Amino acid sequence: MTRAAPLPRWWILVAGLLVATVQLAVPGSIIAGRIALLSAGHEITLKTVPVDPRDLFRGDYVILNFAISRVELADVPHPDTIDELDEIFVIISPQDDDWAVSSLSEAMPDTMPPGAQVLRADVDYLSGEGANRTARLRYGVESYFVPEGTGRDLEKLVRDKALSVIVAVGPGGRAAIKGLVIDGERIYDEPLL
Amino acid sequence: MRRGGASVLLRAKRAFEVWSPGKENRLAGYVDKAMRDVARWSEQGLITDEAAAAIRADLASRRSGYGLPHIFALLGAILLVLSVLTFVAANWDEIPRLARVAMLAGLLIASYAAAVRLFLTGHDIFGQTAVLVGSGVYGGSIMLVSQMYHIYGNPADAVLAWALGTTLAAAAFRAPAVWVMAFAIFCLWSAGTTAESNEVHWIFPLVVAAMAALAWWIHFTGARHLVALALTAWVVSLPIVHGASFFPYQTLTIGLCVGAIGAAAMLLAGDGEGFVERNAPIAMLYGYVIAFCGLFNMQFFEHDVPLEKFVMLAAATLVLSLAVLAVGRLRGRGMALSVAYLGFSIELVGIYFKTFGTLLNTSIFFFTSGVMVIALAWFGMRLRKRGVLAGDFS
Repeated sequence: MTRAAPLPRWWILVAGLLVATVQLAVPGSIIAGRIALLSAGHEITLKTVPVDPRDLFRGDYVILNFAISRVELADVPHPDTIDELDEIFVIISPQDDDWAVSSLSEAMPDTMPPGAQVLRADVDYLSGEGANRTARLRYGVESYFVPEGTGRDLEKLVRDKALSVIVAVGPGGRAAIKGLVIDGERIYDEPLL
Repeated sequence: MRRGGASVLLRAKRAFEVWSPGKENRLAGYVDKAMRDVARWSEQGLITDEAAAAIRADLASRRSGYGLPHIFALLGAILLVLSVLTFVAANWDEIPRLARVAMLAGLLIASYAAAVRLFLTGHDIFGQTAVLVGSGVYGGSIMLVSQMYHIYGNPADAVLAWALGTTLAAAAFRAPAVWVMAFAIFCLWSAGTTAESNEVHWIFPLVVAAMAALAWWIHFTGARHLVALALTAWVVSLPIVHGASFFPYQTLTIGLCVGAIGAAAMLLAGDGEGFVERNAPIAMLYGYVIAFCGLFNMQFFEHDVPLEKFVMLAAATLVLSLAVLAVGRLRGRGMALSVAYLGFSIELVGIYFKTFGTLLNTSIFFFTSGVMVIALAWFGMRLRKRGVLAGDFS
């Protein structure tokens, strides 16, 4: 559409290399970060219930809902200034055969009770008034992408069985899905690549 | 072109010609129509053969570089991109994930290799097509990776990374078609962010400004309407997202200011092709659209509008449409004319269905405004007879 002089030949080569490199490096760096997290992180197992929607670009997935996704603020110590969209550190401890939130903190805690883990989360929204508010937390492990048409199968499968998700937790509290467990049996391990 | 002997000065001049804004092209439709007119005038003996040839040469130099094969190639590229995106979304487990990653990486490298080859052999538009495919594959690979690792994250972040990478490709290859793709992805990003946070996306106008600067730099004049359209949609969505609390009549006020500046600049400017001459009509056109949406919202979507206010707003909408019609006609701007006709018609249909309390009131309104518009027509004819408007108001 432009009637300007053509691009110099050397620049066409540079442009091709530059753009291809950057556009390969962006997804590549996501892959590298995930591999580091999945191979070096701690493992915790969270019980969950899936539901089945579809993403515009990534296809079918199941939304995973955890006991630690919902926190009654009256029950746990938390920063007073807590607000929607805040990033927050969640200290969780084993309870029965699942995990429960024991406190919320603005910064990475220095000391932790034995057996506890820390997870980084976003405050999705707050509901209720004053001291009786409920916080909805998002850990970044709430979606599990499945081959087209198999979301319902997974949902059916877990209707009468217990589904849990194995989550890798990195040193900074970041979490990534590592595998699925149905009725105590590790049915699916996420490959690193 | 001589090789090797070019002096430093010549090289510098060439480099400047490559990067500096030059002549832009008109749409193919205008050039073709002008060519037919020149042929007719030449046949009727209105212009000499030399003049006709000179005009033809000037027109040919402004003809868009896009032929039918180019258009088909671009549309085909869009279909390929959609195929890649839906393939990723299908999450087909017959092909292992690693193989899918390798496929996309291979496709990306192949696209840019093809682009480099096509640009080097002078097939710039086909080269742009290859860059378009490459940037589409890039988006697909971001989505594939975040699907592979079940990254919930913020889906808008992935779209932003896609938009930025595509913008880099558009800038590096100075490719208008890729610019359009990047711009569309930015709009998708903004819509996604707004839907997620339910707050006004204040960064969006800045992003649009940066993209407008990039479009100017790659000489893509067709971007002006896309830029104006995106800003219009953003301003019109302000009261919907933000509530009416921003400032009263925000859409109407912004639209009137932009439109009035555009109209004034159109009336004051000459017939040249400077910055003002090219952009003032766009400011008036989209300012009118924004103001119209504001007025329409206040008349037909707000609850319990008092009758006097409704009559005033309806009259204001009709007057505004007539003003845009007048300026568009005086300065020979077909698009402003069409949009003003459209606005006028929509307003009439709106009034007809809502009615001013009673049908009798509506009838009186239509009668009064009809008489006034016909009076304007009569006044215009008088001015024309006296030669004040010298045929412009024909």
